[in-house]
Amino acid sequence: MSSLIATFSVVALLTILGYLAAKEEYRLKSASIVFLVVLLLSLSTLSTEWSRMTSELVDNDEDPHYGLPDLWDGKQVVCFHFPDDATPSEFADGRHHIDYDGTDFKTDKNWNNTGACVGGFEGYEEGLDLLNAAVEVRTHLFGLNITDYGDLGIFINSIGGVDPCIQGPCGDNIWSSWEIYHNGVLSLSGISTLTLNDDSVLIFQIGTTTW
Amino acid sequence: MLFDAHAVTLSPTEQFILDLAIVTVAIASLIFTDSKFKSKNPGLIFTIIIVVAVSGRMLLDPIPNVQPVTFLAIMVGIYFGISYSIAFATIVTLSSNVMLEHGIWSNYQIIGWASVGILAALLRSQFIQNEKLNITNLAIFAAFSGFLFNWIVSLSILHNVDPSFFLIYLLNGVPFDLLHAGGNVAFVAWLANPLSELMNRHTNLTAPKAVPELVSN
Repeated sequence: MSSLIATFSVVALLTILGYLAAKEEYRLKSASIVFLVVLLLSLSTLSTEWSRMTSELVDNDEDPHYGLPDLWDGKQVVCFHFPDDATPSEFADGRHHIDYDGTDFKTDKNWNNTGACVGGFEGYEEGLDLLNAAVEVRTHLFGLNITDYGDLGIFINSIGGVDPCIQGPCGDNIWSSWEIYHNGVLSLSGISTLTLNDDSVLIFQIGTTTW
Repeated sequence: MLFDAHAVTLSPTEQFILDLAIVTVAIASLIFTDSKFKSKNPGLIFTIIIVVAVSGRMLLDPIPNVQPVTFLAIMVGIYFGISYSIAFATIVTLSSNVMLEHGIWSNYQIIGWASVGILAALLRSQFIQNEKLNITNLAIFAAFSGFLFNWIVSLSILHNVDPSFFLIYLLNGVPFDLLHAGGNVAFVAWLANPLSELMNRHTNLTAPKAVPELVSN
């Protein structure tokens, strides 16, 4: 939002300068050219910021992108749902939506989980690559602690310092872990073997398994 | 010795600058050489304006939403009237879309540019005052026309999406509407006066005179 205001302000300011700097009979010519050139140069920023501001949350609950900003339709998203008592204070007021460049542009305060979704990614084919890309956006909040078991894949011990075995039970026949939901379905593959779609939504949340 | 000119490739920026230069030369040539013609046949200048509109639209295609068609539709509306505006919108849209892309949106573009021309024709007295063009009024209308045209063309998405999505779609397009409006104002600022003189020379519409007496049989 602040980038949007800043961009509009720069466009307006330069246009006014272009208007005032010219002789009276050339003022409209000068101002219109300055406005057009500055607007063209800032179009990318302006368009992105404007889209973020006007985006709505997808309300079709059969869509894997349900609850996510429509800006991310057709793109890849990673959500981290933290337990209520372990949510970083930045995300305590609901589910935050952070674009791939780190801009936190929308918060859903009515969502039944606290945490954040990082989205707008394209072209990732493997789950681990997408997860790493999402973590990079807020390393201090989503930092991973993993154990690499070689051919067996990797195991996520904690995300953002949140360890499932501290949050939930871990014993002989019960285990709490970071579970992965791929497009709304509990993934049977680990993150390192997960194959993605163009618009995959990965949700990480703590779940408990018994056997 | 033969040189293969097709082998020369330009970057998008170089191509754009070249296109812009071509449009500028075309419009400048039209304005500066037209004084030699004494024809009062509006068809001549109307045809030339159509050619400028089509070529301008195609050459300026790399700049999103900045092209001279909306501005020229306004000028045609003012100087030629409603029926010419509809003809202008139809011919320019179909001719340029042959090269750009033709589809259901072409109908909406025709309606959009025709609406702009018709409105300009109806509001003619606001733009020509004391036989002079009121640039301020024209610039305001040109800016408004940028939004009006884009909104009319946006109606074409209702063939594919739910009407509830329409407002969001319009909101998302505001930066591009602004570009269209800004482009139109720039065209008005730079070209309205010379084009107005040019159109005056070929039409009898700007200074309507009352018939002094009825012709007897």
